[in-house]
Amino acid sequence: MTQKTLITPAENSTTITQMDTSRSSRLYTESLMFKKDNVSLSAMTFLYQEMISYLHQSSTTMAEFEKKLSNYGESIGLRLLELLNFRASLSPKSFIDSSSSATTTTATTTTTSNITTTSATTGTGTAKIISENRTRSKSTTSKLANDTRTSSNSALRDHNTHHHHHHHTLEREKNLDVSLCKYITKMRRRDLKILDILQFIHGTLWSYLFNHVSDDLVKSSERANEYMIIDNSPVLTQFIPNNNNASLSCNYFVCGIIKGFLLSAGFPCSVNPHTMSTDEFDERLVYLIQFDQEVLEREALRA
Amino acid sequence: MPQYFAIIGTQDNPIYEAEFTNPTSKNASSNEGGFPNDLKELNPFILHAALDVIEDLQWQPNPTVNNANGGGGIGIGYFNSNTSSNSSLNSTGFLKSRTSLGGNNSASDNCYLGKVDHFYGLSITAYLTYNGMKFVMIHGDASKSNTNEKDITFNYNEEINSKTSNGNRNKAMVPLDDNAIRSFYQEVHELYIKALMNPFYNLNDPINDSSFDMRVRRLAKKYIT
Amino acid sequence: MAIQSLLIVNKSGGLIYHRNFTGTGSHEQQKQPLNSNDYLILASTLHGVFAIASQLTPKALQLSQTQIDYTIPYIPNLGTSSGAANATSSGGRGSNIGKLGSFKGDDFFKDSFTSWNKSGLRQLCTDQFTMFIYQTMSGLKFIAISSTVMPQRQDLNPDRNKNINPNNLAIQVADNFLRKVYCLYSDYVMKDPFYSMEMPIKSDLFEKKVNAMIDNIS
Repeated sequence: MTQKTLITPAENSTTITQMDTSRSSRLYTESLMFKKDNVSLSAMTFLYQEMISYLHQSSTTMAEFEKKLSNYGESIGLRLLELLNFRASLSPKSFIDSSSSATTTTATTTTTSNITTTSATTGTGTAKIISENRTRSKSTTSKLANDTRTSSNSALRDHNTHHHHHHHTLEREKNLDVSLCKYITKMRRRDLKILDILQFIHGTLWSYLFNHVSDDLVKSSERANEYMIIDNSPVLTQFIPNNNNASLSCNYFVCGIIKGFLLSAGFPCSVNPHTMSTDEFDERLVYLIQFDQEVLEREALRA
Repeated sequence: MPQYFAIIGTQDNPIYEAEFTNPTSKNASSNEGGFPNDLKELNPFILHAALDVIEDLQWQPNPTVNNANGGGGIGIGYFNSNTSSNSSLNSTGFLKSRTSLGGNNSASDNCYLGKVDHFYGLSITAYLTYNGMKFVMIHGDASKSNTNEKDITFNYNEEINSKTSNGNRNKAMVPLDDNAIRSFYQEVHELYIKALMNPFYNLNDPINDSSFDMRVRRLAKKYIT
Repeated sequence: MAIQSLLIVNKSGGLIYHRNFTGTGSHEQQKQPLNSNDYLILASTLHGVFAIASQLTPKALQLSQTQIDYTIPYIPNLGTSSGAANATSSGGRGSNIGKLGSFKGDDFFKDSFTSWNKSGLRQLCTDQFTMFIYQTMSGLKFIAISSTVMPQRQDLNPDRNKNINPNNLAIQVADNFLRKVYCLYSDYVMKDPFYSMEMPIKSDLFEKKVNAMIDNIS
């Protein structure tokens, strides 16, 4: 159903063809897929150090410094909320299916109603299939296993990978539809409960940021609106000495990430760092999350 | 059928809007396949009127139950959302049967809210992103868009007169392809995330990027018009 | 090799770090350590001597410099707790023991390296102590004072032509050790946002790590 409308030159296709491809950024063509890129800890901490010393110099009070650092984190947190939830929606099953069914390099000729095209399929495992932006390496293309979707998506796939085809309107669109939606069977549910979203932070967000889940997630027994995320050895501030009274405040960046994450998900709160040394971990850090009263009220309504 | 799509920010501020017209109509008339002119300017109002409903559904555990109605009885769908917020016990039992009817289990995603509202002949669907952006769309009536304006205004007047009659509405409503709309929303969602990844873009800023616009329109063409 | 003192001198001759490690060493040559002013003078004097020494390099040596091998071999697990003991003590991630900051693996480096100290002092032998100097690319000097007295060990092995010349070995050990202190410096001093360049090092983390390394050596 969609193929025809896709190729038919319609009134809006003028805007497509007139688009200045050289000027447009790669913002929309980059895949949102997770890439296993490790950032050098050294580079990261140098950057972090510069960030902190810049903020520290530009702030007159400690509270101002903490606020500014937290704001840096917040804008990251609200982006991560969207990105990580979206990535969590990708069902790993569809990748596995596609890798198992994708056979060794076969050149298949897919004939659809309008386009004839060759798609070389390499079954080199999930990694290749996942990395959609690798479609620039022309020989590797991802084959969709989901048979029900194959027909409707084949047009999409074709101009992902091929450029010398008879449809001039499509030529300019090559590589533009690096969308992951075809792998999504069901979007991840929005987190509506405090515990759900804290679990997501404890697991997914922490894994994304620090490559491991956070060391603990604790609910305060004294106050209903307080929760604690515990990190035994904070990565970003590990080189910052404790003998400075400003050193604890350097953790406000991660606090900001948590805060921005929760805030944009509809859980207004404040997040503060506290050191809680143990025998084993003397840099053990507790991120204390204090939810606003309205969050608890809403939670009570839904319970 | 014509569609009016908008992204509404967390402060109920408009972020992006677009009108998708039927690409198959090749008539010289500029308005052909689109919304009638007098309705066009009402679109933002209609859409914003639906925001209350969306806000109510936002914290519902199972907001999608409404789209079990699909393109059929809109009125029921709308009232469901109200009742379920008031008396959860009553509505869950009732809605469960609905969900099984519509093929949505309660564990399905709560991003796509399905049809949330209607305005006479128009139905309004909505989608919520994880940070509370509201994707809202007014689905015009394909059968009406081809007739001339007089007819349309007449039809709307007729609707006003008989607003309680469900049967009448069923006739007027366009059946919606939930899966296509859901796919469209998801694709736009992905685009939106990409726009959000731009470090120079702040939350709730309007998106004026022509590249974004172009992509949304292409998606609309692919999925819904 | 017992390290008695560790000094770090910045590129303009200022003493930015100084610690005495007494008690663990077998010989306690200096019962009364110098006062802090003496150390400042010592540092700047050393800096001056170092600069002079670099001018004093004989012409013949300068000409034949290409032939001199400045490569220092890597001595494994010097100052870092070795693998087996480490693996049991730190049960996977989390434990700070054996974690080397931004350095991966169980040791700071695994390769032989070339000494940057090509024209200045590298070693100073007295009958009381031996001093080793490791200079970085930027002119920062790490100085270790060892209680080991070199001539004694030379007597044990008078064959000076061989590669196992104890003098050379001592330099290699000292360079390996000081290079690791340099690694610590690059992590815990350079990445401290509140440290200003060329100023005395006050980081307690750096202190702790250096102490741990000294403990591991002796």
